[in-house]
Amino acid sequence: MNIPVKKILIVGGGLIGWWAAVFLKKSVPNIHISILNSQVEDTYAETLEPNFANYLQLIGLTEQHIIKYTDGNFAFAQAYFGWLRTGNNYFHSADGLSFDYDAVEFNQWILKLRKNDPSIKIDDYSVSAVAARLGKSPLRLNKKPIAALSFDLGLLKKLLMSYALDLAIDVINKELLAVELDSAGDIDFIVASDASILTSDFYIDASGYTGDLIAKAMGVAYESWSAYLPFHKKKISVVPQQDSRLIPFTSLQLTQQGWLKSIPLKNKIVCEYIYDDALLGAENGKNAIADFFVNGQDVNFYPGQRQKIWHKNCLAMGAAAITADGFSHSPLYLAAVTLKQFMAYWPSHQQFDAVENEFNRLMRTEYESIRDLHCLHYAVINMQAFSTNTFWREIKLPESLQYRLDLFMETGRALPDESTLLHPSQWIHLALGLGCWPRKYDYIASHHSDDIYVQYSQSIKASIQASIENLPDYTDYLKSYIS
Amino acid sequence: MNQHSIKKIVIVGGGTAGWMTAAALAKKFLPINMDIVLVESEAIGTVGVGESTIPHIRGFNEYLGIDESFFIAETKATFKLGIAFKHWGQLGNDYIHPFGPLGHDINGVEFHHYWLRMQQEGSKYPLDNYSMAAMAARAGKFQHPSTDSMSLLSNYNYAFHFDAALYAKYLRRYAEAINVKRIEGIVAATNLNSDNGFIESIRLDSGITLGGDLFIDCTGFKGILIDKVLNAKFEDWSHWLRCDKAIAVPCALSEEKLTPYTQATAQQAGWQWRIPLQHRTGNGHVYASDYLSDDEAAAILLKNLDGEPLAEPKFFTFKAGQRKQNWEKNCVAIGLSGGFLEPLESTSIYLIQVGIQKLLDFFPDKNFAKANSAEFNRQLDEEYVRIRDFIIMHYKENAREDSPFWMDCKNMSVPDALAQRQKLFKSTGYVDHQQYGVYAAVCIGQGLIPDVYDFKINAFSHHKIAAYLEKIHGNINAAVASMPFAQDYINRILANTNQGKPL
Repeated sequence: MNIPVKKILIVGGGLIGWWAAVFLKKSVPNIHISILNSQVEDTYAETLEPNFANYLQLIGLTEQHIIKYTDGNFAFAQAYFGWLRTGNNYFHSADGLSFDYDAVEFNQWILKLRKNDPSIKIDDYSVSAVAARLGKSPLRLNKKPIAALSFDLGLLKKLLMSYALDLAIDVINKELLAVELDSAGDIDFIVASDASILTSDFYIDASGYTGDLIAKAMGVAYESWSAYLPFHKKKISVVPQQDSRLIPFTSLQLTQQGWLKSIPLKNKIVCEYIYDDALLGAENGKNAIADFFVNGQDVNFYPGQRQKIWHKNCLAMGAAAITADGFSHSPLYLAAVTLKQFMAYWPSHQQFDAVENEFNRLMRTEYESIRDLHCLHYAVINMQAFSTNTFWREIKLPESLQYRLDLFMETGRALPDESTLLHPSQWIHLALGLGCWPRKYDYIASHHSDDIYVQYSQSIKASIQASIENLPDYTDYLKSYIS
Repeated sequence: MNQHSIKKIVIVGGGTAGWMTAAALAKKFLPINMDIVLVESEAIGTVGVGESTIPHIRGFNEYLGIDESFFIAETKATFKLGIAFKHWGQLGNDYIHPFGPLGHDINGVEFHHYWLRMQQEGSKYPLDNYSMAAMAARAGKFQHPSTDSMSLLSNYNYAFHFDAALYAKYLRRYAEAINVKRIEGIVAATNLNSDNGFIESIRLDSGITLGGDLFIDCTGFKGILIDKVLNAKFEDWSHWLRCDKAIAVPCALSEEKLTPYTQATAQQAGWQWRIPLQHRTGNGHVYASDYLSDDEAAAILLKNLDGEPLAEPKFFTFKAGQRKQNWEKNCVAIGLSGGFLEPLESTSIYLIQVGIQKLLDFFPDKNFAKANSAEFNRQLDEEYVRIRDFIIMHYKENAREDSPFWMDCKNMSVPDALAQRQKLFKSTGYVDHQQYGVYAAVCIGQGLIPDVYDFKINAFSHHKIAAYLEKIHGNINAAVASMPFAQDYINRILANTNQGKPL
């Protein structure tokens, strides 16, 4: 019968399982949601894209809740240290960089200027980037904050769990013992650790990388991205934030063996070191970074995607569906996007291949765009050819990214993306910021002489300078924001 | 400008495509002194059946800075609010594909789901009832959409019917006034570079040789440059789109008031268009010659005219399909030289426009980077396929059993992506937002009714939704009643238009 399902069981008590429970129940109150609160390893901190506020709003949370209750902290930029041959760092920010002159886009006239002035840096044209460097806040107290938001995973999960209490979500505090399929290959029921049997119309697998339902029981394979994203180990350390000034940006530091990510929260800094085993092992004992992480937690991760994230009566979310390296688009963000899309394709008792296929096709498009954006980070290291380490050179580029890069390097144009998560300008700004300067600029940029662009450029910088002077110190801003 | 910049563009062919291209390029390059030449011959006719458009044409005119009233006077244009499809899906069917939304989305669920639920619960009202554009079209009403976005009178879009030959003539004046050079002549030979196969120059019958950096082929079906010279392959789609001939004839206006929409009436082996202009009505019959003889086709057309024929019927032969590469080396095909899709959804001029827009977006330099033309071709293909599939859908989704043509269309296999999309719509009512037009209106109009509506709307009672739909319909009726007749509205514009200088 073509009747929509009304009963969903979520397996996995990590942040993503709880997000799914709350989001579904809030969005469609007349369905029955239960969650098997089994143990799932979460990491410590993530940073959410600025537009995540829309998702928060759907479940009745605001940025203020996140800042207050999850040790939250804004990030106005992501700082890249050591990624550029010039030795410069780059503060990647979501805002600004849209200063078109006449009909000439920012990235075209800046390209033209740079032909004669290699010292040009695009983050000089973003208020958020400049403010982040100086520890200032580009946000105004009386306005809705638009910025990326870092949070403590454990605390957000607690917040969601307390929230769920009021929502008539059925919480089952047990582990998963077994999954039973019917003759058609659908999940018939699951068995919990106390041998009780749980049935549902539809199941969400939020059990983590192992994919206890979708992979272990249903056999849907995982597609590894290790040729493109070769790292699979990280060390995590959490250190107290001791400075009296808060840090309003996340940072990525490139090293010979991998890269170091740090997510500053209000009271602590979460540091992750993504590294290559062999390289680090070879230099063990004389490596300051290894020393820093000596008491850190070791985590394995496996970049890739599930071949089908919706299979029969099961949807995979979180690490059961996709894992990338953590440059952008945090796991929670991807899970939230997946779930939102799922809402539009809601399953019915009679299953339709057309529905499943279309949903899987769309999500694959999104996931692979995110993958390619990640791969761009490694591609630029090779394009600038400054790393002596052969390891980096062995990293392959997906064909889709190669196509995108060729177009960009030849013409300065971004490839329009079918993905809804990435705006073409995000590609351009990241590529330019990380030192990929296209061979030529658009003909349209030649409509004006360099002098005009130089003047325009100076006027932008002057106005940014002027507005920066009036901005509040970030630490002061946040204090007032919370109170 | 640097040594790699394109300095000379040669456009071959002066129909609608040629002059639209010339005008847009001239406008774009006005500040940098680009050398633009258009070669055409008085001896070669143009196809110019594309007299019905979609709203994008307004963006093109706006880009050129053409005053709308002036354009209307100059090209004998009338307003268009959509296309009425008669006998499509099944005999007796009559629905409108409107330029504008159906109802309003409520709580993130598209309107057609609400309509669907009411149908399942016994209501019989057609979907057209909830479209401002469709209701105004049926009533013969038109005025410019309001700029107040809260008003129902802003809730539609519009395009034009116009005389394409007059439009080309007007654009010629426009382009020549901003330095496009027109040369009378027929291409006698094309000289290719022996190393790389690029076009170096063309020789005209007059003996003149014209060199250039970039060549644009607007020579219609012949595709003189792109086909004969660069051997770009043609992808045949006629197994899906079986109509391969058309016969066109203008006739005198009917006694009735002007109808602000295009009429597409399905016939036994094709369909007939009716496009009202200010001074005459354009008519044509698109048909499949495997199923219908030329005489039969002509008889059907002439039997169904509003008034006296004003000229001898003209026959056209075509084949649905697209050239695999519309941009090859330094040659770009724009218009019929690039591909052909029958004008069922009035997309001929739109496809010209897309070609021009993308050429401007991906304007090359003398290096002619492969990555650049590859992306141009990819995007253009995507647009062609999107429209192709949409048109195929009109043929595929039908329940007619009155002629072999329609039964064969019903039973044909369609492109995979389309089949998938139709299955998805049938089983969930879901519409991918990248689809062409008001997709749900056409699916439902053709008789493809989803099995289920979005269950999230079950939170509302039957009465609440019924009352809501009634309110929308009532408001639309009231808004339409307040609008002037399209005929009166256009008369007023013409009376106030000073037919003076074009620029």
